[in-house]
Amino acid sequence: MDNQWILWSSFVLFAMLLGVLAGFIPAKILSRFKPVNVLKGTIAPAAMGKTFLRNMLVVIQFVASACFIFIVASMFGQFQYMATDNTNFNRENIYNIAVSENQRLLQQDILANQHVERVGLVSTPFGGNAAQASVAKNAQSESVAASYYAANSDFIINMNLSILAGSNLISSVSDSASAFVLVNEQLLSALGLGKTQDAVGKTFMMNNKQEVTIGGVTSNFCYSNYQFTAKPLIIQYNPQQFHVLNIKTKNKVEEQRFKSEMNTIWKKYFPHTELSFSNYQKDMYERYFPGGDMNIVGTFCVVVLTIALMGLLGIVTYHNEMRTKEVGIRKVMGAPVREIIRQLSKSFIKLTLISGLISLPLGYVICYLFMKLFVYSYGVNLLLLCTLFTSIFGMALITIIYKSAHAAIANPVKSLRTE
Amino acid sequence: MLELKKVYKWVNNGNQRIFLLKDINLTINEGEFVSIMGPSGSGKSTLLNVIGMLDSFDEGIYNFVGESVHQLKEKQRTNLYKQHIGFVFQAYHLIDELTVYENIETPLLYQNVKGSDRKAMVADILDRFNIVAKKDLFPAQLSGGQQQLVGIARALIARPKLLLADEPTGNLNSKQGEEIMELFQQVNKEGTTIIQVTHSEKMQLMATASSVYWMALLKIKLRSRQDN
Repeated sequence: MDNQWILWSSFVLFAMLLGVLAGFIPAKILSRFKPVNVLKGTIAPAAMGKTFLRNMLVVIQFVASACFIFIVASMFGQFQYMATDNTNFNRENIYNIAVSENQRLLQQDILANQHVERVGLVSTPFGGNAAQASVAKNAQSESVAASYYAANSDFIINMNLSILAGSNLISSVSDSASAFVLVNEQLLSALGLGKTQDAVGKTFMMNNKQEVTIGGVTSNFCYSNYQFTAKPLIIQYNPQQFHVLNIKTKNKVEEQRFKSEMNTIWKKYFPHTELSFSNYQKDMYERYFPGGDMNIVGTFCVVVLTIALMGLLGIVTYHNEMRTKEVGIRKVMGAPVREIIRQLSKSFIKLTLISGLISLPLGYVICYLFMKLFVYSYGVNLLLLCTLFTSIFGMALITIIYKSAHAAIANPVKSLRTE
Repeated sequence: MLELKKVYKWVNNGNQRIFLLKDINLTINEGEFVSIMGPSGSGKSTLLNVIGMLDSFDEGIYNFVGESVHQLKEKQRTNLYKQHIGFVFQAYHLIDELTVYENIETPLLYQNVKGSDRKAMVADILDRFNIVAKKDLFPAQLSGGQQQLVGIARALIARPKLLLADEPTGNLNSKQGEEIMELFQQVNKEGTTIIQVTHSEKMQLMATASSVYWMALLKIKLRSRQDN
């Protein structure tokens, strides 16, 4: 309730302040005029000496809107990267089927399908919430939190993980958990287990009761949150905890057809339960891409740009109107239309270029800072910023030239009429 | 030099046709000093704009130094008038942001005259008009007579064959007006054809124009012609 009042009153106060300033400043400028000079015509509105203020306003408006658009574009780029990334772990041609326990026969039937290349098993796919485990160097030392995945070797291949040292999990169909685990480099440094090359064969304590041996080491790939460095990770062959069949297809398949084929197989084993089937790529897109928010922000971008262009249109129109007499005189002196357009638009094109010179480095810095929030980031796309600025500049250019051409083709007889 | 035959100009307002010029027949020879007089609203300025090719007309024939103006394209017309015609206005119409020097130089910029030639031509005319000392001043710093002097210097800088003046002394006091008229006569003697529009009878007499036309109700009539 309190907050609401503060919010609304600050809105009202801000609007009032803006209104008072917008009325007060021009009034102050006008009241400073000396009547004699005004009547003699030595103070033309165009020569009010306020061109600096006007130019600043144009530049500020363009820098602000360009920077806003740059940030939004960078955000969009980062979210798009997170939503479609295949470099940390593979999402392409992967389909997941939830199962209650290890289903060897179902797995074999699916593998027999013509489209299927490999079927991995995992406790829960990457990208979601991992199970937690505590790890310690030995029984006496302090324990550290880690993420735990139960998976088989085929899952690791499906995910395209890079093994830096040692080897993948041992290919096994055994019903008991293996003592060999796959860990990431972060776990090595968290436990002080030395260099990656020397880690294979070393042991550590998991959940204070089980001693496991490092069989292989993966890179610190991002398996959940792009904002932070991956937590220590353990992947163990542990059939009791397999809950997902992780299917990799040979090529791109038609999802609906593939699903119904899978359903047919599923119904053979579980006629009374629904198949829980999902497209991993789509799941990950929805998980990481804030579609609704981006739509709103995108709309804001359009509004901001429109306001900036309208402001420019207003200022150019005003400026050109102030110069209609001059344009008329120059036309009578024989100036070609092209020359007049050049004359009228020169200063504004300069202003938009200046705002480019300010907004590109500034936008780069802001985008860089935004990207810094993410450990796993796409980086600032300078080419994108330049392209965006070019299109903003293009729109401004069209606005300026359109208004200037309008003034330049006007009949000079009209603007020079004295009576 | 120029010849207008049965020139009409009008605007359409709804289904009403409002005439601005009616049946104008006019022949002006090289070296003439023409005054066109008449009450305001009689179409003098419109006629001058048509002669100066700033404004178009709807019917009739207009020949200027051997060219059929009514058949020319916009661009050719611009080229024709910027080469041969200079304009002087009642309200001077100098560019406020430019100095005297720059104002006079403007027409040359649009005729692609080389920089060194421009300098020489402007210096020459400043000297002739006795305004060298004022060359760095802005129009607002000059009196009306001086501004008109600059306006005439600008009109003559490109050595036009024809000078068109729309009420050139209308904003000046009588002494300044006399000076401008003396200048016009001198310019005319040097070979420039002049057409001026005025409603002041006195100015007209002082100018001792070679021909005087009277305009009323959008039509033009010759009133007197002196043959030298």
